Amino acid sequence: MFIKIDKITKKFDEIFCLKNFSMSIKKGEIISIIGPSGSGKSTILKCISGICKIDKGEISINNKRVDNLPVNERNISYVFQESPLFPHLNVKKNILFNLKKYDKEKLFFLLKKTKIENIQNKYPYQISGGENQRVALVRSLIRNPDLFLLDEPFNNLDNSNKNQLKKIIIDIIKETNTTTIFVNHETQDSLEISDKILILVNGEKKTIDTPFNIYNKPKSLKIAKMFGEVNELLIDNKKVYFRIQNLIITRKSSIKGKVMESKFMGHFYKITVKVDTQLVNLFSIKDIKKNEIIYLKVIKENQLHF
Amino acid sequence: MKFLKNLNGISNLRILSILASILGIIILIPIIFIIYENFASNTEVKQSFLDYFYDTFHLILLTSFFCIVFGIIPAWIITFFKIKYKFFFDLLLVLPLAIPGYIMAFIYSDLLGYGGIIDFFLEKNFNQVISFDVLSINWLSLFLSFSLFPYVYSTARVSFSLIGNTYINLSESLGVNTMNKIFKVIIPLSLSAIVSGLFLVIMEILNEYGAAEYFGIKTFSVGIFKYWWALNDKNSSIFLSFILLFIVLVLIFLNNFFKKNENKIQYHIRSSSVILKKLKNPLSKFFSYVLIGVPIIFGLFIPLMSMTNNVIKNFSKFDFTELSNLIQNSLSISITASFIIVAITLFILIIKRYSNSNLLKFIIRILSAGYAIPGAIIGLSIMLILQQNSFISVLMGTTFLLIYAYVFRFIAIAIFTIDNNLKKQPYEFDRLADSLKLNNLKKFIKINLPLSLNSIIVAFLIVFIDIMKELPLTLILRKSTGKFNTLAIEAYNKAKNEELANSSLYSLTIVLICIIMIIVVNIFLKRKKHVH
Repeated sequence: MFIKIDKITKKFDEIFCLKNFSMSIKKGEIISIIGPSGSGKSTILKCISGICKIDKGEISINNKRVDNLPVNERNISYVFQESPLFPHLNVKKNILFNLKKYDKEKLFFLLKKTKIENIQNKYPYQISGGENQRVALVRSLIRNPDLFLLDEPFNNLDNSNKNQLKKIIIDIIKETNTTTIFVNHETQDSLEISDKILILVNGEKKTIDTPFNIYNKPKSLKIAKMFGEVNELLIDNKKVYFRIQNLIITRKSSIKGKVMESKFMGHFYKITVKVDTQLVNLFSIKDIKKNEIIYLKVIKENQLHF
Repeated sequence: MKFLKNLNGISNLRILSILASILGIIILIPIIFIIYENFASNTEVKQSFLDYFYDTFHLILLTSFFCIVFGIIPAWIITFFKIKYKFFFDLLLVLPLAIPGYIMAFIYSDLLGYGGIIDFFLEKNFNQVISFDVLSINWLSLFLSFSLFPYVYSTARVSFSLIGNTYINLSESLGVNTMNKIFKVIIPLSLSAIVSGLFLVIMEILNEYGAAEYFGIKTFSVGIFKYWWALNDKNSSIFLSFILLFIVLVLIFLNNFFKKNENKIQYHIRSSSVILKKLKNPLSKFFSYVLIGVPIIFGLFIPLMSMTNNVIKNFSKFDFTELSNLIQNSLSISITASFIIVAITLFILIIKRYSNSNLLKFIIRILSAGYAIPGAIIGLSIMLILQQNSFISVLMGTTFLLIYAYVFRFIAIAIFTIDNNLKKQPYEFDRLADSLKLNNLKKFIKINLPLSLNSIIVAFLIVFIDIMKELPLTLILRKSTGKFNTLAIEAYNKAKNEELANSSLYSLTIVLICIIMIIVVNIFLKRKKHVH
């Protein structure tokens, strides 16, 4: 394994932030860490980077122990939540900050890929939030880091900037084969970007798996709900769990329901149906009137089992 | 009051803004006059003027250097490291401001001079005598820096705290070592604050008269006094004042230019709280305390001990009736002038806020530069005006005149403190008051005044401290009559007449009063932070 985190523990004021946390990452892999606020996501990144010192455990990169090294000797790049640029330096100087040698071709590639070639002489106060994040990204990647840490990099960006940056990040990371840990609270982003997703709750690892498995075969109802709505329905005295898109309208079925509400969502309508005493949701291309009786079918192979 | 009560109409506000503008112009008369007089008189430029130029800049450069060393290093240690008794160190590092530069210089020249305590100690124990002349420009720079470094310390300290941990973590994650972190990140990001602190130091040096005169250093202020009083050469005195004014204006321009560029950067600094680092190595811990301790020991403890020692030794010789009169004089003039300055400032700033008058804004901007104009220039200019106009010459040597001069010199401090607070009060409050049909007087009493109360008290106290310490302006304006005496003047006169032991009683009184005031200001500033 390229990165090995072995049973690290971090306490703040006698309260555990991380408890015996372990994780391994292959070279070039992108891992997303997801969890509720205060679960310790950012603390993991701070411990790995060296900004926070761990109380116990070991961190090694490429079989070399790094947890005893100071921050500036770890060759880890960190893009913070609101990645600040040094306000007294222009974009180019920010990117090349503290670099004696750099790969000019790589810089050219990164600048072009992030579309910031034309703002190199501008100061941080002259550029937009999206450009700011792209500069921070280039500044981190030009250093050829062993490990690249991204802490909620899309936080303050609008949708268009966010989608652009997301594509840029995936392209660059894959092209440069950079091992990456990505902390995020938007589950959709993690599903799109990651090779694996790690779920963290109260400083403890709950699960780690591929995005497909996390979404379709979650280990618990709680994890399933983190990635989208889950319907619960009692069929033949047995509770069945499934995602909204796996409940479809059919001509005849044993599940009969009455439409309670229909909401226009843009690409589709979200229909709330009452089956006996239970409420379930489904997607429909067409609007369905309130109180209409419809028949429903659950796609069995996509049921969730815990 | 009746007039103020009917302030809702725009025309009334206009009248008040004209009134405030006239008040501003009256305060500005001395500066207009000195410029006019310089061009009206034909002064022969003397070779000796160059000496004033050289000595002043020599003093500025060296004192600034010492202030940077004594100010920035402790500010850096206290901001970024876990230090025991931080609150006390923070306070102790500001307290040397209570000791006027001239008193600091008198004390050290006494301690290190021939026949001083060090000389005596060396002779007694090692049969050696002091072989250097303490009355030199280099030593004076060091002594002045002991009382002026708090300007750099406080501005650097605030700026370092604002930078916080964001940039420190970022630079570390980009592979920066400690030295580069200081020189590539912390100093550049705090440059504007450090320059502001240095600007205040330079202005204080240009205003310095007592110490420079005593040490025989030819600064511009000394030159102005010398040509005016000793050589009776009015034109040369005016010329030197004009040159000094020109230098001050260039410095103000440079400071503003620098600030304008830096402001863009400053607004983009993302402040975060500072996570303090532990000093694990006992040697680095020891050196940290030494670096914090040196300016406190030399800037506060040694001068206080020396003055106290002199006072105890000569206790039976002092004339305490005279002391009580001087305290009464100093306190009454300082309190009255501070009150008038704060009242005028509040009036002008509130009218500016309500009327949005451009003329008033312009006048306030010029008045804000008043603090940079050395007392010698203001004093000289007022004396010239009185000499040329027989109908107002009756004011010569009066307290009224002294207060008028103080208003010009110190109104900038009050403007800066109160205006900063007023700017933080959202205009929505004013609009809300308008919508609730409050007239301007009620709006002021019920909204702006209570919200500004802390800053008004802080402004009053800072102005009070400055007036208590003020020397050249008081010296020049009371010299004509010699009737009105203050603690500062008596401390200076006694020291000048080689009666340093006697001077200590007055110096110690000034310092103790100022120390109490600075502690009160600190308490108010802390309270202000809490309220915000």
